[in-house]
Amino acid sequence: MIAYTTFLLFFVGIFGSFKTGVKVDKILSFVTFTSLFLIFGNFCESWLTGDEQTFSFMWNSSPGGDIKIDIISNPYNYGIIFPFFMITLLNAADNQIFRYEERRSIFNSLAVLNLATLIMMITSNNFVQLLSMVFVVDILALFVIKDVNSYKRYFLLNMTADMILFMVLAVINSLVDSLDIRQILEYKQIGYHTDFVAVFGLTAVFMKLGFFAFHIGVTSLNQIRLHRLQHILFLSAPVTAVVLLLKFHALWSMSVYYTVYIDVMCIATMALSFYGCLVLDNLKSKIIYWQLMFWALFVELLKFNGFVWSNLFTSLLLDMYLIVCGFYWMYHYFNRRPLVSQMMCLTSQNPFRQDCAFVLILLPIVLMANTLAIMYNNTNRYYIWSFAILFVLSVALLINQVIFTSTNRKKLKMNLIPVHWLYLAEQTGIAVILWYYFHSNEISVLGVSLAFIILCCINPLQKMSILYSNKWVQTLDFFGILYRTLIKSLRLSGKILWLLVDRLLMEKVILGLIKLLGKSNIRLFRQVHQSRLGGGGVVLIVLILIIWLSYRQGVHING
Amino acid sequence: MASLLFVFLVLPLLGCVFVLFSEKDGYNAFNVTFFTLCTCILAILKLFSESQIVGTDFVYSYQWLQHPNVVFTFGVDSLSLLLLLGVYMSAIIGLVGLSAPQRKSKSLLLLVLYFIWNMSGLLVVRDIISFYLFFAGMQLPLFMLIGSYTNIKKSSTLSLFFLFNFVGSLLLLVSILVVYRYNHGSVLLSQIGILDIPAVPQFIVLAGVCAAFVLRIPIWPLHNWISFISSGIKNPLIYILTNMLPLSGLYGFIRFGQVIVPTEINAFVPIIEVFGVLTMMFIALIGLSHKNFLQKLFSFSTISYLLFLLSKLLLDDKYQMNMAYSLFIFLIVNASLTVLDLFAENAREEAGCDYRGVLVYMPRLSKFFAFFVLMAAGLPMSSMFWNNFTLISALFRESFVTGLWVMASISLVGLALIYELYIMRDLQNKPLQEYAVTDISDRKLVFFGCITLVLFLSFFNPLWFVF
Repeated sequence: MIAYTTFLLFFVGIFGSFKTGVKVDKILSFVTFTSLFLIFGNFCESWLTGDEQTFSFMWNSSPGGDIKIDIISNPYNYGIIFPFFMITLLNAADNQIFRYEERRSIFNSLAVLNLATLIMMITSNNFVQLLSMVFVVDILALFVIKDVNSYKRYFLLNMTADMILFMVLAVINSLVDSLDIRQILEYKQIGYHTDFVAVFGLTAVFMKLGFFAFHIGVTSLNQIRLHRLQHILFLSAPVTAVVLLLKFHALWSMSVYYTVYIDVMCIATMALSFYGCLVLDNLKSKIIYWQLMFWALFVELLKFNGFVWSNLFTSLLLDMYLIVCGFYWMYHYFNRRPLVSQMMCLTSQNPFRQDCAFVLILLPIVLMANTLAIMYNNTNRYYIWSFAILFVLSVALLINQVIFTSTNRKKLKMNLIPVHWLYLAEQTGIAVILWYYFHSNEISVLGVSLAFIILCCINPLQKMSILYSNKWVQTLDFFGILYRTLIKSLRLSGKILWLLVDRLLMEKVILGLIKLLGKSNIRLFRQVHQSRLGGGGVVLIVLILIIWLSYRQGVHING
Repeated sequence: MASLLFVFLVLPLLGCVFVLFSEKDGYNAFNVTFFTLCTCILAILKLFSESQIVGTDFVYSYQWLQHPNVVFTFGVDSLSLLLLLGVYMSAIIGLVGLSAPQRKSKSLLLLVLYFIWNMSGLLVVRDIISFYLFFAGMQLPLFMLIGSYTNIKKSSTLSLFFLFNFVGSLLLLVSILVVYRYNHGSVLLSQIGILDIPAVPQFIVLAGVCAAFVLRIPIWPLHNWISFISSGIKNPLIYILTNMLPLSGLYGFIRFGQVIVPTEINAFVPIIEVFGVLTMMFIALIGLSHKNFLQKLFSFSTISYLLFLLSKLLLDDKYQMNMAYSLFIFLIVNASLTVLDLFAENAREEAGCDYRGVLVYMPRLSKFFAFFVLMAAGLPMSSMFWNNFTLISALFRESFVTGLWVMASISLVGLALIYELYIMRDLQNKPLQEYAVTDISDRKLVFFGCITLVLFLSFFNPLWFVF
């Protein structure tokens, strides 16, 4: 039962989050990892037994509908949860192996709590539950990112997305008059503001995915630790975006802009990502852009599959995770130096390491080619080919630069850190399992693999590495400038409004007039009370006015 | 229950007497005030549980004068009890935020208790004369507090504050006199709608009542008095009490709005709606432009009050409890943020460190600050999240355009608060300096821990404290 798994995860997450000494932390992190592993085993067992149960808890009621906590166990939900559970487990395992964190247990527990939240989001049937979990994932991301400079853009963009989502769900709730997500089909019949709901809903999703124009939130994360970055890229906001697409595609697809908007954003993101992967020197930035490219393909594939989840999507996600793990190995080996231009040529160092690195990258690429080949017939082939070409080209460029090209980088002194054999075994083992479950006899897989190997040796784009030393290209932040200008103009308009309305109109003009009126009245009464001719005249005028008003009122009352 | 309500109403006055006779330059007055407020909170909790037994709306009357016929009527329901609890908890938070010299000031504490007494009186009365007495009565202690214990020395600001509130009270008085003219005695708030009053006087009554309440709520172009006043207050308790004043106007709308004949009130609603929405956007933009957390907090509180006002005016009474839950949380969050920000500001000035990154030097305060800011920005950390969701979706149902504007201004102010939090936590890659910035004490840590717990548990059940 998924509910049982969720509660256990929450328990483990809270248990592991206590701040302890270094020794206790080691034990605690091992305990949380082992518990996660056991819960994963239990989860898989329940999935295989075909468990279908519903946990439903009446949380609160409101005039807009009942707020329920639903955790629904069915094979479909198990299928969606599985890859994220697996990635969390691998992330926690890597955390054990790499000893990268000062407090490993806290990182593990954050990952576990994040997973439990994702599960509650995936299995939800209620707007409030869904929205709450989206927010919680973002808050947990704050703790994972930890670095104040990095999370500014990411968090602000995600918060904006959350508020847009809040608004979209409020609009839906206002017309459907129910908090039940399954009732959104009724909204289809009502049919008001469908374009608004679709465009804003999709915008929130794209913001969370970090697509074109909203990518600055994710790309600003290139300063954080790589395994934390992995967590954000695979288990945080992008996943919530995918779940939102799975849940609301039926509603959003009513709009005429739906297909166009998704296609334009995916194509633009792929193009932008390709550019980023080619020209940027920072390995973490490259990984972020590869991931964006991957999510763009993922969304397109989901769209062509009618936003119905299948095991092939699970395989795709795990393949991509393994590819990033390969880069992680490289990053770790070079003593966590993020700049590709500072990574030494491996061929001149250690042939075994070179082979390992190459295999660790090649294996998941073959696996991904294999998965895409299986999907090939039932989807838009242009996207798959575009992605395959762009992805292979950009990865091959990196491999070519780091493993095969001999440059003056050899001169740099660097302590190389060998990677634990457990890590190699873990990656290979998972690759073998994936191959066992998903393999095709398509010749294209062999073709892509061969093309990749050839490209790695003779990369036609290797001249692009000249751009690594170009400061302007490396620091260009066009969208950052755009957003800053937007915010500045908003602030400026606020300032101008304040000056014009509060200070000038209200304080100087209206209040000034009131003051002037008061002063004039005082002067008038002073005049009246002084024995002057003018004062007598004023009194006379006032008296005549009163008599006239009384007369008029009398006439009015008497008809 | 009647006696309990009576005791509850008398307690702050009793506290005033004790404060008056307490020793000079000691903490006696502070302790008396603190424990009076705590006892009142206990009484409110008891009233909550009693009201579960007696019924949701409990009313009792007391004949004061025969000629003229003045009957004081008091009563409580879940709405008024929640607001009372919010007011008292905010006052305690403000009290905790006072510095040592401020705690020794007898007159400050006396006036605070007197103001609180008026506020609680306003929230429990059910007849129009008592309502007026408490409504008008609260402006005097506040005026004295602002005049004596803040940095506002500009006489025009103070006179503006007095003028707006005085005109409001005067208009309400005129309305009450017109009602009295036709009814010859006290009238229950619930009976105003069924009084036999000719059309023109009825219009005068309704216009007067609306204007009196609107003057208390910062709606453009009548918002200046509170924004000018708020920008000059550095005493957390007085700041909190001043920002509580719009609650009296809002509560007036809630109580009168329940009974006023819809056709008459409908004439005013579109005007208030347009001005309310414009003010929200205006204040949100101004909040974004200011580089001071307290100004942003003021924007947040104004926008929240206007959201509740629009909800009251545009939505059915079935949303009343959602509004009450949200208001309760809002009052506490607003008070907590005020206290924490002013504490941080004072500590920063004493240590001579920069505003940017100040929270890095105060890890304890920083945690609570972040929690309250995220809550204010609308994250699901208290019941305010889903109650606001319910209110906003109902607003969308009533008017799509109004809903959009409301949502835009709430988002803007939320993002402005989060951005300011980021500024206060960001050192801009500078190394940590050797500043001796004082963090919150152990007592305050426990206190704010309890407040956080109260709010967080409300996410699961807004009335979890009622047994």
